[in-house]
Amino acid sequence: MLSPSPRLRRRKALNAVMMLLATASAALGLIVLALILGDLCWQGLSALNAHVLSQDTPGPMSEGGLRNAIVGSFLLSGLAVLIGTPIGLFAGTYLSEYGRYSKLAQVLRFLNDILLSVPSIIVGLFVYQVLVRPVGHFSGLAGAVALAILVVPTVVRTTENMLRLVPDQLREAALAMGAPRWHMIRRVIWKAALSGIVTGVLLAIARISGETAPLLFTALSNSFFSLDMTRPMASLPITIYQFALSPYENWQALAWAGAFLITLTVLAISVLARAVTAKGDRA
Amino acid sequence: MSPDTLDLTRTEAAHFTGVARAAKPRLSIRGLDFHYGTTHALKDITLDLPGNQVTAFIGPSGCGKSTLLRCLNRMYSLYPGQHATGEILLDGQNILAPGTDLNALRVKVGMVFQKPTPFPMSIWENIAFGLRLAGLKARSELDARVEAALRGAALWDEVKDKLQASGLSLSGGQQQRLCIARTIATKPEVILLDEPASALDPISTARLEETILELKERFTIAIVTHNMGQAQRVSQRTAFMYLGELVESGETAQIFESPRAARTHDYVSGKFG
Repeated sequence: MLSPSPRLRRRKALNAVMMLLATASAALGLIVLALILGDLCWQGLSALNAHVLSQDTPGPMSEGGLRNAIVGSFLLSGLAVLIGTPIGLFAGTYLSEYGRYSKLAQVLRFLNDILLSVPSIIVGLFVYQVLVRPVGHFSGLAGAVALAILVVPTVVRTTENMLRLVPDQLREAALAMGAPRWHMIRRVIWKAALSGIVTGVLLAIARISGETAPLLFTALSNSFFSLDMTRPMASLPITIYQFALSPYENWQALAWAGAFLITLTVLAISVLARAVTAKGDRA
Repeated sequence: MSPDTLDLTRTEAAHFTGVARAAKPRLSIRGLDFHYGTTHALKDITLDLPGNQVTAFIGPSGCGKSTLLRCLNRMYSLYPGQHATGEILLDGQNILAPGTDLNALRVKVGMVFQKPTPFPMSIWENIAFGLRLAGLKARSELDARVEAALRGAALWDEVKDKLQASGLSLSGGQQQRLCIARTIATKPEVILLDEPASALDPISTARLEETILELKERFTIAIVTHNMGQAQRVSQRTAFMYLGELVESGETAQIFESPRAARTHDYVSGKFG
C-alpha cells in the first residue's frame, strides 16, 4: 500500500485549512446578510398595515402611513430614469459605436468611471448649488436631477459593454445592406443588445431607489402629499432617515415598514433584471 | 497581303473571340493595392469580373482573397488604417474615388459573410430590412418581394408558414440562405460571398451551391472559398492568389486542368495550402 510522503501530507493539511477558511468566510457573509434580511422582514412585516399605503406621514405619536413618501420616491426615481436613460444610452452608444477609435471616447470613458464612484452626497451638494440655491427652495425636480446624475454613469457603462458584446459581423452585415450607420445601430445593434441595456437601466433604478444623501440637499422632504415637482417632495429613504432617528415608536415602526418596502422593490427589480437577461439569452 | 499582316489579323481574331466568349466585365479591378497598418496586403491586382458569371477567389489562408472581396463593397472603410489605391470600376465608375456614396455602393454590391448573420428580428423583417431602407412601404409589395427573395434563395418552402418567427430560430444553413435572400431582395448588381459555406454541413452546402448556380443567371457573383471542389462546382472563372498577388486568373476549367503558373498547379493539386 502506498503511504503518502510528508510533503503530500503537508499539502493535504494546507488544503483542508484553506477550504475551512474559505467556507467559514462565505458562511459569515451569508449569516450577516440573513440576519439583516431576517430582522428587516420581522420588524418590517409587523409594522406593515393598510394605513402604510393609504395615509400620509403622521406627526409624532399619531396614526399614519407612508403614502406621500412612496408616491414621492416613485416620482423622483421615475423622472430620474426618464432624464438619465436617454443620456446614458446615447453616451454609451457613442463610446461603443461612433467613438471607438477616438481619443475623446477614452477621456469620456475615464470620466464616466470616476462619475460611477463619486460619493452620492457630492452629487447632492452639486445639484444644491445649481438647482436649489439659485431658485431659493428645495424641489422634487432637483432631487430627480441628482438621482439622474447617478443613473447616467451606470447606464453608460452597461450600454457600452452590452453593445460591445454584439459581434462586429452583425454591424458589417447591416452596413453591407447599404444601411447608414445610425440605421444600423437603431434597427440592428440596439435590438441585439436590448436585454442587456434594459438590465442596466433596471440596475440603475435599484441603485437610486435607496439613495438618501443626494435627496437630503435637493428634494428634502414634505409631510404632505404632493405631486408638484417644483416643491419639496417626500421620499422613502429620507423618511426612513428621519423616522428611524426619532424617539417616537410609531415613527420607528414606519421606518421599518419603509425599509422593508424598499428592499422588496430592489429585490423585485433584481429578479426582473435576471428574467430579462435570461430571455435575451434565449432569443 | 504580307505574311506579317496575316499574323496580326490572326492574333486580333483570337483576341476578339476571347472577348466575345467572356461576357462584358461588370467589375474591373485595375492596379489595386491595399494596405493596413504597415502590411501591404494586396499588390497590384488587375482582374475583370464578367457579368452573370461566378468568379471564385482561391488561395491559401492569408493570401488576400477575403481582403480583395472586402474592397469590392468598400467594407474595409469601416476600419481606420485600412486603405486601397488603384481603381475598381463598377459600371465605369471608380468606387475607390473619394466621395463615393458607400450606402449607394453597398445597395449595388451585396455581401454574404462567412458566419450567418441574421438580424435579431423576424424572418420577414430580415428580408424587408433592405427593402424598407430603399423606401418601400406598401405592405402588399413588401410581401411580394419578401416571397420572391425567399424563393430565389430556395428557402420559401421551409419558412412560408413561420415568417414571423425569429431569424435566429433557423438552422445554420437556413440562416445563411436567409442572408442570401436578404441580399438579393434589394436586387443588387453584384453579390460577394465570403466563404459562405464554411460554417455549414455538407447537405446545407450542396443546397447553397445549387442556389448560387441559379443566382448567376441574374447576378454577378464573386465567391471566396477554401474548398477547391466548391470552386470547380460553382464558378466559371477562378482567380488564384498567393501572398497578396494575383498569380493567375482564367476560366475555372483551365485553372484547374492546365494552370500556367507552377504555383497554381501546386495549389490546385493539393501540394500546399
